Amino acid sequence: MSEAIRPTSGRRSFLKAGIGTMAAIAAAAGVLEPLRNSKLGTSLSAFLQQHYKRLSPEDLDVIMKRLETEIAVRYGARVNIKDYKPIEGVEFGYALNLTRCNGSRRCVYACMKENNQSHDPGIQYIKVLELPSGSLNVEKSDHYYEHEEVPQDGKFYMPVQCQQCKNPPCTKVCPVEATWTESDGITVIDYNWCIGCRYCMAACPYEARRFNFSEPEIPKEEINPEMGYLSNRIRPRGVVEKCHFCLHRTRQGKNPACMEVCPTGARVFGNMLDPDSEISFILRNKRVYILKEDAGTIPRFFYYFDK
Amino acid sequence: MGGMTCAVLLLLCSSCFREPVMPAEVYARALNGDVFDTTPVRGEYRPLRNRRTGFEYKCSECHTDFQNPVRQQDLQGEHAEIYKSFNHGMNTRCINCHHTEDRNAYVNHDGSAIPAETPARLCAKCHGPTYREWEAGVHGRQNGYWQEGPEKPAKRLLCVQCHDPHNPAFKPMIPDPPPPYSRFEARPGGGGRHESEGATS
Ligand code: HEC
Ligand code: HEC
Ligand code: HEC
Ligand code: HEC
Repeated sequence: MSEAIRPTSGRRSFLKAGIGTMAAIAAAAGVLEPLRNSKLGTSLSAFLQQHYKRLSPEDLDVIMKRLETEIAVRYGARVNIKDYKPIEGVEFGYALNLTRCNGSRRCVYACMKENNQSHDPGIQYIKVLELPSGSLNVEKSDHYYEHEEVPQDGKFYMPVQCQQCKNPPCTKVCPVEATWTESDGITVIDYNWCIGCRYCMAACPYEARRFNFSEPEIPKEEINPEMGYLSNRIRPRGVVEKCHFCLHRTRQGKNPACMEVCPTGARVFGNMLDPDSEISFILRNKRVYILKEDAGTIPRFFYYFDK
Repeated sequence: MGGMTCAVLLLLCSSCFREPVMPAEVYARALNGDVFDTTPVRGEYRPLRNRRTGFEYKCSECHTDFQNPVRQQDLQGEHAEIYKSFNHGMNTRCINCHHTEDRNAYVNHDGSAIPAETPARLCAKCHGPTYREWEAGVHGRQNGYWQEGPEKPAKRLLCVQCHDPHNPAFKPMIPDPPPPYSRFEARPGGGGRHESEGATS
């Protein structure tokens, strides 16, 4: 870290100038990428597979069975893939108390485990930003902090993950409609439909989306065998993934993994349409704010400070 | 924007993006053991007992046999550890919380006993607002189900599972390791790994 050299502004501006054309090339390369010697989801049937929304329940069953077999072959693990549907009358919301959060990153690793995120290359859906107290300038944050102890004096910590926007820019830019928002407010991705162009990553103001550069590496004993088709099943190489509020848990009424392990109790999750829920209590009684309000994304993820 | 830059850098860096972004051993520290660990910081709830290596006493086992010291002081060193670490703001008296006659219980404002099995009610007598938020499920943590039902229990952590009643400030923790350095991102006040690699090659 210490020997690292500050990026020069020259390099930065050079990169900016080239962005237009190069993004196009990058996108083209991305389109081809998943077809090259990837292992999961490369069978001919996977290639010919329809979009999630056009699949009959029977088709989907066949596909999920096939995926289970592929994972068994590739990872040596017996897994159970299901398709969890949104619950009627439920719109999820998540609130995070920034006065409590101490930056321990327990949520980050529980999320990795729960959601079968690749260990190598490392993919993490939650980024914990360290910010100087009294500032809310996300650009000034550091999410690579390393300390003997947290929290540090004069700092506060802000975990950022997919904000599950009501007006999500990411779904609009997808050229193939591989990502969309469901009735409970969760924006999902059809990993078998995604072409890996990464437009959605560029569109997301929260940098919440991740890209699988290579076949995910997960030790067999670390694999969470309870998988959702639109959520934590092991993703093929070359697709985009992100936080989905643990829909395979939350659509069964459970709490998301990050909330379960939070040592400080900073996280509160629930149904915003239920006036008696904890999340409704917070929206009523706390001064919540949303990240990058001016982006007009209308997140379902709320932050607040307690006295 | 960040994503776009990322895509561009990716292209510039196509020679190196196939190698692992993060060496596996960095994760080992965090992934060792159970990362999905829901144990609260002070562990599972334990009933009110005086614990010494190998022995467990009910408070009443000693406190009926001798005259309690009139003033709270470290006379015989039985609870020396508690005296030493005690730090609860202006709440400096043992008997603000512990009952002087019913030694196995806590004491309420009116001198009545609060059973030891309900420690949250003890805290409630001085921390009303926090207690109400805890009751509403907003202070502290709930485990299990957001959607409560017959088969869907929600477990609420007790105050003493996070706060030591004798020294209640929430203790600092060792953070889990940072994410892999993205080579496509500069670190504020430093540089991403990409920068340092670029400098040497
Ligand atoms: C092994 C015997 C023993 C046991 C068991 C014991 N105590 Fe004590 N306790 C003492 C002695 C001796 C003192 C006085 C000197 C001291 O604090 O070391 C004392 C003092 C105290 C005091 C301060 C003085 C007072 O009377 O208010 C409190 C409060 C107290 N004990 C609470 C407890 C509680 C609560 C328990 C049960 C969890 C307990 N004790 C169990 C021996 C014991
Ligand atoms: C804020 C209220 C409060 C005050 C003040 C307080 N206690 Fe306690 N004490 C508790 C609670 C609650 C427990 C239950 C232990 C737990 O859950 O960790 C406890 C547990 C104990 C125990 C047994 C458990 C153990 O950790 O060994 C002893 C002994 C004890 N207290 C002694 C004292 C003494 C002596 C004092 C005064 C110096 C004191 N307490 C002041 C609330 C209090
Ligand atoms: C007799 C009244 C009383 C009781 C009972 C009591 N407290 Fe306190 N507590 C206080 C006071 C007074 C302070 C200090 C407030 C201040 O300094 O601003 C305090 C402070 C605290 C703090 C903040 C500490 C810090 O340094 O940030 C916590 C946490 C806390 N109490 C937890 C508890 C818990 C948990 C219980 C129940 C086991 C409890 N208290 C029972 C009076 C009480
Ligand atoms: C999941 C763990 C957890 C549980 C359970 C919990 N707290 Fe806390 N509490 C915290 C954390 C974390 C803080 C923030 C501490 C800090 O800022 O140093 C806190 C802060 C406090 C404070 C300081 C004032 C404030 O709001 O910042 C009080 C008082 C307090 N808690 C009382 C209680 C009481 C009473 C209960 C039970 C009814 C309880 N806590 C249950 C984790 C917990």
